[in-house]
Amino acid sequence: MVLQFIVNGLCAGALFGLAALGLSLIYNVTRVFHFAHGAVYATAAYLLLFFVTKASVSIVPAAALAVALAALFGLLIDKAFYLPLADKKSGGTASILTSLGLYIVVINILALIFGNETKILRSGIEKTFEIGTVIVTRVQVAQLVAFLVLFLATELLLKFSRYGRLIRAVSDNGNLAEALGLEIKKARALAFAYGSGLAAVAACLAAVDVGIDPYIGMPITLIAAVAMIFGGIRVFGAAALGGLIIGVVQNLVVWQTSAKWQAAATFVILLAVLIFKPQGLLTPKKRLEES
Amino acid sequence: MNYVLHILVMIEIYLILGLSLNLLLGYGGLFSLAHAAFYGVGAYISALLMVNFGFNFFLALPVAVIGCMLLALLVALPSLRLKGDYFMLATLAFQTLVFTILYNWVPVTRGPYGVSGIPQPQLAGFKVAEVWQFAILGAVFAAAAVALFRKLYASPYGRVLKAIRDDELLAVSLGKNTTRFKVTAFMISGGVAALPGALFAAYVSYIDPTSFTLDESIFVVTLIVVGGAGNLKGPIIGAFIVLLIPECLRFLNIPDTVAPNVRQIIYGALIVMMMRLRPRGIMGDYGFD
Repeated sequence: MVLQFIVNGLCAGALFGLAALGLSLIYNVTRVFHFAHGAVYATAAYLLLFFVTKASVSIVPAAALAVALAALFGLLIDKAFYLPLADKKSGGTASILTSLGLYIVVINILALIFGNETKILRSGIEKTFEIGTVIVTRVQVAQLVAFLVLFLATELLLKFSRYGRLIRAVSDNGNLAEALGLEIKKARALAFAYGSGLAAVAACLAAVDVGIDPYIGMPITLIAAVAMIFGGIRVFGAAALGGLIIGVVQNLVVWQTSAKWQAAATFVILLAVLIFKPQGLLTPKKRLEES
Repeated sequence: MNYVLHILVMIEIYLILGLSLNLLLGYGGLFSLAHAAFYGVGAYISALLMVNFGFNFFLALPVAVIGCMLLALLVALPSLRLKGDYFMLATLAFQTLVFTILYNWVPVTRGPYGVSGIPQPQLAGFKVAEVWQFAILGAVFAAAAVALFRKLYASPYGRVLKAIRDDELLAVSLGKNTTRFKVTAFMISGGVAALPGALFAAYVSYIDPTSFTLDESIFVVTLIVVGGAGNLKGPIIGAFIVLLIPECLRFLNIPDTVAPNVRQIIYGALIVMMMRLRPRGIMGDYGFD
């Protein structure tokens, strides 16, 4: 019984981890607290729905298309909204408010187009596999595989590729990177596109699993933020692990009490981390910055 | 006529919410997303005291104020150790926790079923029952809030708070215990938010947790962003503008099914526009830039 809940938790956590990894890339490079990440997430899910049901594309190419468009969308949000604020040297509150406003606008446009109700992408019973006493569905396997592949790929890209080094340099010290003549704008664009793409992958995998409504993005973004802080800001991979842990904890809470305290568990974790170890579990001890 | 008066009551409620959040946002420079939690807890304490224990409205009200001040203390002590984005996230966590508790602690709060049959305020045989009477009661509350904050902003306390917002290190170097100032600001802000909570509960006579969500917190922030922060007139103007916009939409014949979404789009776009073009709001003294 416990094992089943842990496996379910890992699958849910895989999606949280992907969204959190994306959020962490964006936050570290740009210092923008990107609530609109949730809007990108929801948009990706609806794009998938549109391609599959209206344009009758089969599901894998439809998802690839949705991810690509979502990455573009994230990139455009930065270019159109956050970058001008950064150029004006506005502070953190201005960008938080802007991202909240953007989130509200985008999800309500989605609601106007597709309706407020939950849409199911696929019906029928999902194919399952039995491993010992644990049952996993095909979608859950896809979730775990996608997480592992993208997590490892992201780690390798960050470590060894030229652009990965650029992103790490900018997130470590933006001013120094700029002074050294590194391409800050390129790092921003990459972070937004890649981070939004990761969220979109999670969105597509969640959409085929549990369906879509316009408001799915906000809880995921909040969980991703908690995962990012839990794991430790500045360590990109830590956000992904934070996501996994939150997924497991949530499912254990469901197992022990009931589903209604799931959200509460996440935020109790956040408060505990913020109060006792605000630098996160995996970050070397360091003073917290102003913003 | 009742329609106009109803809008007036709602404006009065949000005006007080705006004024009380302004103490944190505009004076303390503390970006809190937990204001709907205080509004909700104020509404629930007063409603439950009236319904379960037969309290008079005017007796339940001070209890609600004190309850919200204690909750504010509980929120402030851990949150204020954090800065910037972390502080905002901590308040957001509290907002979500309070909502979850209101929604799930069914034996006490009645959860999603809500509290119904909340009696009308009564004082010395006189009953506040009609909409116009609520509008007058709301005006009294709003006037009290304006008077309180006017006094506060003119006082040394208000000036120290402003100094902390502009340069906390400087305030510390002048020997001010900045944490104490911020905690008391939180408590005053939370306590005042209980007033519109209790008024709302008595006015609509039914409350449920969905009136006190994160969206509601964001809405109160919106009215300050639009009107302006750091003075009295900003939130007042903001409350009028933000609440009158949907009423104007009514005359555009937008179908009811899409009206809430259209309203939200306008609010969201307003925030984005204000941040880009006028980060200090229409009449604010303090910019979010």
